[in-house]
Amino acid sequence: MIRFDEVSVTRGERRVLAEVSCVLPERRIAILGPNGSGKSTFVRLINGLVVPSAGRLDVDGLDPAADPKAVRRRVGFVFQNPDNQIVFPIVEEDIAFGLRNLGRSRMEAAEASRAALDGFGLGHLAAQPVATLSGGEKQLVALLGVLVMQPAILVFDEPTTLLDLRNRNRIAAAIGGLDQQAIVVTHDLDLVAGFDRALVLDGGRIVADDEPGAAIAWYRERMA
Amino acid sequence: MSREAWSPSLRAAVSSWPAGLKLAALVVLATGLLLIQSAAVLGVASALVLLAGLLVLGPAGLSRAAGRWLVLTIGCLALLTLLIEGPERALVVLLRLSSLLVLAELVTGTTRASAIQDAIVAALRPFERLPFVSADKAGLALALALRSLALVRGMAEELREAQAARGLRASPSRLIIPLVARILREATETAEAIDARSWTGEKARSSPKEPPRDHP
Repeated sequence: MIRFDEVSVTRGERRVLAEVSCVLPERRIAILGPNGSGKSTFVRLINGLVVPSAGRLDVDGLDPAADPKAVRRRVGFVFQNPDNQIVFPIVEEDIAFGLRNLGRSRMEAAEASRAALDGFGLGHLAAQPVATLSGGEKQLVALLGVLVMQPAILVFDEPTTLLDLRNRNRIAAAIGGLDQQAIVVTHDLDLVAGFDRALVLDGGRIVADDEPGAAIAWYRERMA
Repeated sequence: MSREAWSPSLRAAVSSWPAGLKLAALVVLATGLLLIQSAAVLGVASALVLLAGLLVLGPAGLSRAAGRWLVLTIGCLALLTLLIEGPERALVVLLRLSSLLVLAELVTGTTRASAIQDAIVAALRPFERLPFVSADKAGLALALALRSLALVRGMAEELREAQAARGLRASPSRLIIPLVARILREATETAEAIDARSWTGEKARSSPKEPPRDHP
């Protein structure tokens, strides 16, 4: 379970997050809010990419600021732009990258990568150069690169922003089919309509916390 | 890609060679090219390298390796040498750099990035006791460099199109500043992504990282 306990993050004089407290046990959680509201900072805290300036964060009993390596084995992170997340020029090499980091042999990592690609119906992409993939395929490869590491929690930072409708739907289906807890930052309100819970951030604070229908309605009205 | 090679069987054979062997051969051959000062001898060596390139990579593979900016850079260097040191030295520079380019593509075009990374890490591992040597970092940097070629090319193309749409003519001086700014911005997220994927070659940060701005 993820617990924020009066967590604040400051950048210079500006407070990006202000004494945020919440507990996140649900399977599907949406993080909504306008640009600059602190959404990306909020989710980056969960796997230690950002550390709190004040307050405490607990992720399945671990403190991301104190032990980011252990937390990152539990929390996978999928970024908005897959081009920034994909490290290797060939698809299966990139998917194997995370597994090699976890100490798996090259052969084990390659086998697991191929199995993961086959599982998503993307086996035909294994030997493809990443540069030749469509945006949606790249985002799926980025997701697989995280999924093969078998995290308990997955965080998505605007995963559909750069995608066309078909690829957006593929990613939405992939997120919907995950066994893990998923926390999704997005401006795509349809994507999270069926989620268990939605938090709305504004000015570094949680200003709404409800089931998605009510939270989205409140957010639409507030942003009109 | 193998369909483009003049000799697919030779390409398959070269692809099966160990990455370490190919990198070692690249170092030896590149050193040899740097030591040759005679334009005639260099011409013969360059012809052999070009033939190997055509057999293993084919014309399309060689064309991809060349790239507009690399050809332009080599051309500029040769022109500068022509003006300063005369035609024979200019020819030496032209042949040497072109051959190095083809040799490098012969390695990267027939070897997986992960195999090159493993070979670099294995070669540097004995030197890790020396200051500033980290085999894992060097291996990752190389993989990122190979991956970044296509990315940077795409970014440059997007910027050129955006400038053309605003009525600006293509010019390296107009391109370089926004390109570097964009590369640096994207590199920050790539660094975060590498951290997020449990890479441990990096030493732990001693100070908290600044939070990012929300994406637009």
